[in-house]
Amino acid sequence: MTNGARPNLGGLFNGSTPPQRPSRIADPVSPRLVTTVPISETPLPPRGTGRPDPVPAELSHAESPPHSPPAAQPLAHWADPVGLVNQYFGLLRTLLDINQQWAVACATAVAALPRRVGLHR
Amino acid sequence: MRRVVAIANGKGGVGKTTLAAGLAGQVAATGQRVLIIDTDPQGNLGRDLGYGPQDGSSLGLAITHGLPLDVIRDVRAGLNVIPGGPALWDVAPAFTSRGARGASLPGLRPALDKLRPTGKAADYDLVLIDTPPGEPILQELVFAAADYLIIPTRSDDASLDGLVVVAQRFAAARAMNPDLTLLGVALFGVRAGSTRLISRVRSALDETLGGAAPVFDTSIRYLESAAVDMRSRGLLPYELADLHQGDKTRRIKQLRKGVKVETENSLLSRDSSAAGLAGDYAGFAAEVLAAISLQENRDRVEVAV
Repeated sequence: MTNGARPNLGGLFNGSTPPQRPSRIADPVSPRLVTTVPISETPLPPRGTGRPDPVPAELSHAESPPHSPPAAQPLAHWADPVGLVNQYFGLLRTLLDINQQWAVACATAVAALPRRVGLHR
Repeated sequence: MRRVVAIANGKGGVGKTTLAAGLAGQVAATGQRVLIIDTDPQGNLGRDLGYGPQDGSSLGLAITHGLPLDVIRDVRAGLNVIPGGPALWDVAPAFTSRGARGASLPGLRPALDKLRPTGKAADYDLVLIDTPPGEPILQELVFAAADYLIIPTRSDDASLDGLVVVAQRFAAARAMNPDLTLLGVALFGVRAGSTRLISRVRSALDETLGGAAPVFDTSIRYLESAAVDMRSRGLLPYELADLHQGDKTRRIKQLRKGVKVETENSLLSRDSSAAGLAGDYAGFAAEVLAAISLQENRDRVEVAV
């Protein structure tokens, strides 16, 4: 072991210094709902800032309909299709996890049967 | 009272498995009930204790699915084992993938809580957990389930780097397991009699630990020939010393009878070095048990206050 500056790890071991990163196993404690930002809430670039208009030039004049609805209407969360799809697959994953736990428990019990009845050691 | 002691370092090859096996065997030899858990996917503990290769699936499924643990009983008198093996490679990916979508996994502690050596009333006196160096998730799972930590280290700078890694994981695990306590650092693999080196390494370790825990007084010497003898025959240090003693007696008898002394299966190590190594482990085990008792007394006083 060479001489030189040594790190002082006392704080990490006695709790006075926080770790550089949290534990990898601490976070997942309960199912989380995946929340998505509705498309309608994505901020649009301000008009008239010198940047080219996303609307084609030939439509940006008189041809554009006078009463066209705004490009993005805020949608209710329940009507957010991306959120609904994510929730649906989240539910499927949870059901699959439960199924997997049950099936593995059954398979393990079956695998242990010969030993329990004394066929194998 | 159950004591769960993890043995860990962020670096490989510092003697974790050898130390864990030797300590478990030594404590069990004193009549205490000991369980040793191998969380290493390489499953090298089997070589030290002399049981056959295992796949580690029982431990893996206990961590990921909460299934009961399969215990190999009486590997030595009073010593039970939960073996590791390649199935433990699947634990970290299971945590990563299921954790990413918010699912929780049981971990190691619920399975440990259900374990009993025999009957319902009895409990283990000591549970030792050997950890793999390069699997941070497995190591943190162990830290979340343990009461104490022992860090084995060698005398080189790379082992000190491993100490930094394990210190970070220890601090992270304290968020889940605030009672986790560093019991001490064990100096492993130093040449017997190299007092200047040992003294220098000790002072360096004391400086690094900043008073958080002691460096154990007993260093474990490393003897290549004894290590080969022990792992090739599945012997613990005190068993190797006994074998040497028996071997010596047998050879003396053969010489007295005028029979040619058999050397084909002779041991590589010398009897004096094996006895010295066994003495190291006996001293180390006594120190560890004393340190645990001291810690438990401190905890009792704190509770009383």
